Amino acid sequence: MSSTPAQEQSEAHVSRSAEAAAIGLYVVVSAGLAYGVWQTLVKVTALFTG
Amino acid sequence: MLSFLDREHTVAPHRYNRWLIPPAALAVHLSIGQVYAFSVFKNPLVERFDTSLTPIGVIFSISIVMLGLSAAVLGTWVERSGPRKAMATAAVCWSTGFLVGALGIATGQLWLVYLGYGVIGGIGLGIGYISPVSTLIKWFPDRPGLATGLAIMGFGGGALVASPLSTALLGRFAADPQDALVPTWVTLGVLYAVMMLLGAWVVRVPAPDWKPEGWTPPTESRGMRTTNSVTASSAVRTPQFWLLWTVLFCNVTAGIGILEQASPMIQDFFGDVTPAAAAGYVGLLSLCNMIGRLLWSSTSDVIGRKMMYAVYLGVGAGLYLLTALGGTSSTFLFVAATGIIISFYGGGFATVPAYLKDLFGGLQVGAIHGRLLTAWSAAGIAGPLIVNAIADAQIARGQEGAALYGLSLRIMVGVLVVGFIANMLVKAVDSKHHAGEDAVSDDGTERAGSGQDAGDQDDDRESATARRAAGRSAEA
Repeated sequence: MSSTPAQEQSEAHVSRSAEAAAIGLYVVVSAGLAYGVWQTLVKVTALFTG
Repeated sequence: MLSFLDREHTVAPHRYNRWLIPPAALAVHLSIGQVYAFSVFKNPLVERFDTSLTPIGVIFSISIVMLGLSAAVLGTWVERSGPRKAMATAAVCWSTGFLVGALGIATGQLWLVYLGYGVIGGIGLGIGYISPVSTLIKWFPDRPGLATGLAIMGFGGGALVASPLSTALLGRFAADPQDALVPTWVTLGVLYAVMMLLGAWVVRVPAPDWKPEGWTPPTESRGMRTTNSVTASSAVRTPQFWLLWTVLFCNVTAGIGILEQASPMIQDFFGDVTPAAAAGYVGLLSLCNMIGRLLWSSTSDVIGRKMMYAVYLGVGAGLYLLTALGGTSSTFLFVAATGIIISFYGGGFATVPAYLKDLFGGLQVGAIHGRLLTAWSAAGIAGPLIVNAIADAQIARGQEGAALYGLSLRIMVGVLVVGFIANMLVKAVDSKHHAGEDAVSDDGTERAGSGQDAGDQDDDRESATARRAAGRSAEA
């Protein structure tokens, strides 16, 4: 059964929202990981300097 | 109302960019990876409940045991329900675990913390750990090692984020960390719920006929890589499953033995290492753990899963022996050798779903992976037990310093050799275990009586007939 133009438009909108959310999530998880790695590297310096 | 959580509502359009799926998996794994940073709360909890380290350590142990058990028991449900429903369930359990745990801390009821963070949170860990794995393998059939490495890297990275975050929250909410436990746990519970639910919203499964552009699926099995499928119930009856269980158990036992004792171990090996430097060493191991998950798992796509595990276990055994015999000679040698060992530990976790996919096919890989994770629970008990019991016995004999660990490091060499042999014995799965065309329905649900050993088929035939009849009446 083929979908109507209205259905296709709605699905495209949902798809675009999901893509935007996924990109936003990329930014959040990357920032979180960067924060964790940075904090860890600060501690690691004590291993070689302390 | 909750139908948007169903698998059929998560099917992506054909032109959907598959690189939008990993952040969903990472959001879940980064959240549940907090469990590796539980030690941040240990001392404040000891003070809050006016108890010793052992009853507080039980909280972590319960959660890891529940991780393995829930992944094993609920693996088939996760496969059937799809990633969105599974991730949302994991979010609810993990978040509720923090909130019930916070209630236990607020009311001084340690059993509520066991129930919350340990049992309920542990179930969230198990479901969350396996929920994105098979979805990623379906999106990246050409590079399954990279796909699972991306997700499972998040679990290793979760502690890197949670440890400084929790310390900052404990410092912000009160002057005394024990008074800041409740608001910190509530904050983390809400934060992780938001992150994981965002992941659940974003995740998509590929359409059944989707494949990466320019990639042609293999038409026949090559080596251990099968083009057939084995159902989860049949997989656990194969020697390959139990050989891989042994491989994972040995690799995790050896790695967790060092991870659990990292800080006191480096201070015992080298008397001039300060507690701050030891904390830096623990941080470095966490980084190696995270990087190893992505690096080695991706490498396995090139050199093959069996060869990769031969490196983890063979080179790992050599590095353990080097640490046992010459570890005290150089701090750099000790740090480098243990860092590589821990990267192999992480790599072992990340590579195993792809190994399972090679052997058993992709159809129920999440459910099979869930059952295999019981090896993690067993190793989580065995690894620290070996290292701690031997260190205690050596202390009782008047030993100190590096001598506390010499015997346990040699035992770990033996453990890794056992794993190496088990890996070498892994061969392609016998075709009698392969599921037939009609064995599994589109949603990954196993149909009875197929792909199972002959002795089980008679038992299942009757129930299969009854289920087909029930299905027809439901459709009607």
